[in-house]
Amino acid sequence: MRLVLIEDHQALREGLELLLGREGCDVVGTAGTAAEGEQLVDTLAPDVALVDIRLGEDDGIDLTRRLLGADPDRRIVLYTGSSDEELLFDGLDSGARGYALKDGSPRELVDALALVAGGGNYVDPRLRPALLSRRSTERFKSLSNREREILDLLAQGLTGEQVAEKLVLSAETVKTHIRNAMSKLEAHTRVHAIAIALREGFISPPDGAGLARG
Amino acid sequence: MADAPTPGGLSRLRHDLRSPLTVVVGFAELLASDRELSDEQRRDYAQRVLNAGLEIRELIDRAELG
Repeated sequence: MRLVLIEDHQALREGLELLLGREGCDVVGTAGTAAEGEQLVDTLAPDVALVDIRLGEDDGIDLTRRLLGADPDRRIVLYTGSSDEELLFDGLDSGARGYALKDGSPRELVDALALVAGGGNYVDPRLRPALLSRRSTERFKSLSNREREILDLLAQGLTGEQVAEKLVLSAETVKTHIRNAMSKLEAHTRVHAIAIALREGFISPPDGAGLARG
Repeated sequence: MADAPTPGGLSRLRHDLRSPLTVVVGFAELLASDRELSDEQRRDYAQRVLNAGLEIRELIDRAELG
């Protein structure tokens, strides 16, 4: 897995390069500012980029929006020391596919990066209380039973193809249900839809880790 | 006595503390593990823990001074 690491704290940047390298990650580039990071991602086209939310004077969420504006298929994991709820939803709104806390171990971080590099989504399980803290409001249109069922299975870690197989539906039908659910929830990505569905109480939190393949 | 940090200042402080703290925990875990490490690696990792610890102390001192 080829990784670009964008982190303004020099000791952490160098430490992560070493620690993630020891865990089998191929760190192909590191940057300490948003501008350097943007250039590296453009040049190196990594499998996944790890972006600190606070990059000195720069903002990692803005950088994520710019990177995804240029290429929506880029896989980005936001990395932060804060479990602030507003920051979490801003981060998920940006289109990042992963949201990892600095509280996690290097092994956990590598697993999250691998999941996102492989096309899945990740929200740190420690953020579950924040996801669940804002209960159902009238803001969102209700999901159909099928849409809830599909989001529930995605939240449990199944891929879209596995969901289709389990529910004896075509992959295209599952995609349509997911698109409809995302539209109702005003979500930009699958992981964002799962986060909102959890927060609004449309689905129940899965047991164990907060991983969701997508 | 210094005033209590504002909510925004506290959030910033928490973020600033997490970065060196992540270095401390990451390398301390590595040092405490049963992985084979050379003497040079042990010294390097211990130095990283020490530097990050000193940074945490400085951040706390600065926050206390307001």
